[in-house]
Amino acid sequence: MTAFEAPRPLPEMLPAERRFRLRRGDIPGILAALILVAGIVAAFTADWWVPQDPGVQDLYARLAPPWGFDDYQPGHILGADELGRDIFSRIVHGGKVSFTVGLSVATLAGGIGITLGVTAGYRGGWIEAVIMRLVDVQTAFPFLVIAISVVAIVGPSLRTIIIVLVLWQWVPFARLAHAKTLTVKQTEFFRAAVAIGRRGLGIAVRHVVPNIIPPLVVVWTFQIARGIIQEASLSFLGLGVPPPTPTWGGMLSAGRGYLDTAWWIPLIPGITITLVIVCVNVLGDWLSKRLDPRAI
Amino acid sequence: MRRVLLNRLWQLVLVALGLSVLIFFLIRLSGDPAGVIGGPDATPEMLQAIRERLGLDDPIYVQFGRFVADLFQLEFGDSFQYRSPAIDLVLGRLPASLLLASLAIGVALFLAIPLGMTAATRPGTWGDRFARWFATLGQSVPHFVLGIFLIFIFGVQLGWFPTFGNEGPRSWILPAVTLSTFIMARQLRLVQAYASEELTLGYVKTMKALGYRSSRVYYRHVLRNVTVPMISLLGIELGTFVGGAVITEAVFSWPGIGRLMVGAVTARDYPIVQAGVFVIGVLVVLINLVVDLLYGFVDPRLRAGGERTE
Repeated sequence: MTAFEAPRPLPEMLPAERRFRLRRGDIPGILAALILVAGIVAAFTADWWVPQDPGVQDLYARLAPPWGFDDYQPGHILGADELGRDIFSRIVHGGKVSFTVGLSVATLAGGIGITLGVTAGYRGGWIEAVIMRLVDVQTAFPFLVIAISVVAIVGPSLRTIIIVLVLWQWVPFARLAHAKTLTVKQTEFFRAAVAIGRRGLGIAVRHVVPNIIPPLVVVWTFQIARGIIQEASLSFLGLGVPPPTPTWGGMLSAGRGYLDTAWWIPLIPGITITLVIVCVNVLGDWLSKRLDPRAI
Repeated sequence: MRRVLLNRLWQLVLVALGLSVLIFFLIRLSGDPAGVIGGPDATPEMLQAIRERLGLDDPIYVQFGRFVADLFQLEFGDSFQYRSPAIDLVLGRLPASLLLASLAIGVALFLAIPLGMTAATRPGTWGDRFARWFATLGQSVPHFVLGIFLIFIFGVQLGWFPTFGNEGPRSWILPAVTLSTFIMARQLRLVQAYASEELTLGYVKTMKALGYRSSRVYYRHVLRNVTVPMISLLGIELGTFVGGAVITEAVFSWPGIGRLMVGAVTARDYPIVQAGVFVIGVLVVLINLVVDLLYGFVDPRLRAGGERTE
């Protein structure tokens, strides 16, 4: 199933000192990182600086358009929704759910996936067979179909969503960690470590994991993007974190009926999601170039 | 090759069984379907009657035994909403879903191959840059966001296409384009990456030196060697693709399995959810089977039983 990842020999292991010098190709990556950090900080500190409460209904401002359009209502810079709630506040507050899910899912799934993948690669035998078979089956199966069934049955909440997503997202980490561990096992330094009597957890933590981290960081970034998309998709289907908590997917879904009269209600959350995902993907691409020792 | 196929079939049984069991227990653990069917006004006697009719008052292992027995006869019970067999409802929606899926894959390959080849053969040009940005964007826009944008631009503002349901070929365009983007972006990157490695090989230089036109070298010979990883990627991305199809169907009210299931999930119509998960599971494994067969078709070395080189 994994024929598309081109086999490339792991080169010299990471050189200890590699000087970081900015190049022209770095600009999009750094810009994306800055936007993301700003967005995350803004979302998690929203309670302290966003002037309007995201739940307050200002009925005079119902369907008010964003700044620069006719009938603009002062104070609602991105307009207001069908209940007169301020869209800017809801976007910023909605980021909390997206970023919480994206970051925690990718991190938890990374921990599980790397542990399983390294174990599979290092131990081999039936352990490897079981783990990698699970990876195969899960890769092929449509996650969203399971997720909507499970979330609908168990009931949507932040915790359910994170658990369901983690149970699916560990797979790419495990696959890559497994492949890289097999490569590390072929190296001289690994054999040397075995020869001087290193075994078990010690050798895995000291010698295997540090050498497979760079590509896994890249996977981690892309999995954040996937987590955010999946959370938004569930919210869009009405299976996300329930109201009154604002979520981007939920805002888009609720505003769907206003495409012809008040386009800003669905389109602004849509643009926000896209912008965030583009930034994460650009960052991921950049990291994969920078962290790849071959490319330097 | 035969061993691979047997393996796949075994996997088919396992996946289908595992999923059905999972859904069975989740439903039984999470509350009382009788309350959902009866509605808020049902009296305790009515609820009891419903439970007896559906066998919900039996011990869980009896219910499970009956469930497994039914499963082998593809019997998932009647839909709570439509009062007709759930499996028939799901299978009735299958053609629409398959139509949308094949259209989307067609659109994806139609765009990904020329763009990917341009990026590979002319690195550093505007075509290359455009292809890369196109790929990044295609990978980044979630299906439901793109769907809403397309509806806004081409449906509401320009009025070119219908945005709702399946009403002939004109209504196919927006959903097919929406569903195609993610797979298109992934295939584009793959074609670009593999073709540029392929271009460094000797046979490309030889053919050019012999005076063959570049387009012929690229599209007849280089592309052929890229097909195996392309098929491989289709298999790997199948899960994501089906998820995208569910969302796309929901956005465009497309009368397929995905929209049926989303509706069933909100209405707690469990027979349909079970039948839907089962049918999709079987389909996914079957498609993977076809993918495995395609390898042998595309690359004769694999037909002889040789292992695919990873």
